[in-house]
Amino acid sequence: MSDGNNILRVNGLKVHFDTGRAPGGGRRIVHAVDGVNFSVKKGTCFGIVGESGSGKSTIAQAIMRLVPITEGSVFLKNLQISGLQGESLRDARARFQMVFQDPFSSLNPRKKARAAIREPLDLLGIGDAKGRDEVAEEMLTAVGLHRDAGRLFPHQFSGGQRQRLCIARALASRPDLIVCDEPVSALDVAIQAQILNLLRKLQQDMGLSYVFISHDLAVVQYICDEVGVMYLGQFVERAPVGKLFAEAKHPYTWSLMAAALSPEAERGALAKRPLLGGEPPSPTNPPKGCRFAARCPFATEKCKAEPPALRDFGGGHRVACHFAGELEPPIPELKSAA
Amino acid sequence: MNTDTLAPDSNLVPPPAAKPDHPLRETLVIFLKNKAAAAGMILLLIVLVGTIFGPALYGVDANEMVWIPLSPPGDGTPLGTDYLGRDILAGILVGGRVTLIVGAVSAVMTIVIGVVVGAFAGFFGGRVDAALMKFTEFFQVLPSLLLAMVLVTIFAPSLTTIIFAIGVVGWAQIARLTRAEFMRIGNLDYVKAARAAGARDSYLMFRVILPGSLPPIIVSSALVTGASILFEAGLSFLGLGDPNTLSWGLIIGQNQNYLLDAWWTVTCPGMAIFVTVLAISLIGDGINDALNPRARKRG
Repeated sequence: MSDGNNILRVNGLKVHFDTGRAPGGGRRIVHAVDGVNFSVKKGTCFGIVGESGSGKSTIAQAIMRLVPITEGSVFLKNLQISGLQGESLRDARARFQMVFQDPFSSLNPRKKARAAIREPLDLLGIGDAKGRDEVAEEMLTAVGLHRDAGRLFPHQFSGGQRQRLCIARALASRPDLIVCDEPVSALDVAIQAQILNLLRKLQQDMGLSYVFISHDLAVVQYICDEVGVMYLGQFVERAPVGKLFAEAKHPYTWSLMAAALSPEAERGALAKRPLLGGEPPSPTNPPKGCRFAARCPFATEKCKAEPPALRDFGGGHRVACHFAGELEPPIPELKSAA
Repeated sequence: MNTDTLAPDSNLVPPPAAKPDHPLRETLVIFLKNKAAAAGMILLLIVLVGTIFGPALYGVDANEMVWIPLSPPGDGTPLGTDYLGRDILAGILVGGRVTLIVGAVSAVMTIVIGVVVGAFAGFFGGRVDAALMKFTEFFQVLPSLLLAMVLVTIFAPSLTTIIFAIGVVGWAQIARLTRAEFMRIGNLDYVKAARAAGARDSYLMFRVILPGSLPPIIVSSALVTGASILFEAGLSFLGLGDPNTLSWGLIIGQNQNYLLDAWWTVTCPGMAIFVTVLAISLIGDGINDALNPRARKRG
């Protein structure tokens, strides 16, 4: 893990929220993120997938230091950003920026596009006034907007254009890392492709690294180099993208894939797909065994009693399941590959 | 995902190069088209012009005995005389200055205290919020007129004391409103985005969140100004105003014993208060309609 090539290292990250008194005495603690490790190599994209409430957005906000970190550490190259406070944290912010999910709420409606892109530079005191305007125009062009678009207000842009604007803003301070929190899930499918291609192109041109959060496996498969699958605040499986889509080993990953696979296959097969019912258990009081046991079709007594560790299956493929590798994947596409 | 058929980077051209369409412009147009608000503006303008230039133009000293006491309107003076034979119209013109100044200054004080307390409570939350809100509640549960009367009695009635008393008793409501707005807007993504871009707390509070929460604060500021004028009149009426400076409330208070014999002594300054507060309320409603997007769609 101490590879000098890593832009970002996240070690044992925990984010717990105190939501007040529990009915039976004590506090009610939401375990939003509960012990997550990963690292992002320079110039690559690390994807985090999972359903709503799995804690993936909380990871993004914890890396960005927008929510307090309960435990664990986050390193950007050699800088421990999880330990920074006040002005030193502010100074470091130029190096890691974020693109939010909803381009309609993440732009200040009272700021023109140029001012929005300049804002990080203004706040962090990078360059002089003229230079900042030049950077703003340069970034507008870089994200495929007209260089004169800077004089317009956010409400005069479409959703896709707004997201380009958000990307331009994130790029303005020349960061090493951009955290993308579901950057395309609020957009039309055609626009999604444009934004993803733009992110890819910028990654190549500027040597950027991404943490890319999504609930859409197809999107993750397209843009990421390595993927972590999250369930209830923890990774259940982590692998390079090719390996994950060819030989996924965790039942939860299978169910996500089954839900995402195109319905063009035989209609009869759809009914046999291992789609999950029900809701994930409450993160306030996570089960003490495997967190997925209550919804897992393969669960045994052992799963309910003992939490599985992330075991290494070679080639960077890690799975947190007691029976990983022994179970038969119920998806024909995976079976043929295995 | 099939992306081959799509142009990777369409060079998106901005909409036609018309003048940048500022959201405020639209609001202003809606406000000016509102007939009630326009009426309010005209009334307020009349009141302001009357109190600023009126005394000089009319040229009668409001403190002089100029005519027979308690003579009715039209009988020598336009609006009659009070129990000492002073001209009521001159009193209204001069007294308006004090009333409006006290109303405006104490409203500003109310709003500043309310916004600052509410902003800190809403922005920092947790213990700061709990402490500030307990403090606010303390002022909310006290009967405000009684508190103002006590304050004025303790510190001897003067303009400063009265302004201070009105300012101190009225801010709680503004604080609650500001707090609620700060909590709502503080959770929006663009505030998080500004923090991620390196914004300090002070920048977030007063440059990012406050502008967004201004609409409801402006509306209630108008109402607070009206209420402050009424409050000042009330205190003066009760004899707690500054006895040396003429105000509308003071004229009413001094002549209250003659209400049945000389209605004009009380009714005329009363009408002045009524018109001023009405004008401010109409303007406040107009601003509210112009800023409220739901009301906007109904046209």
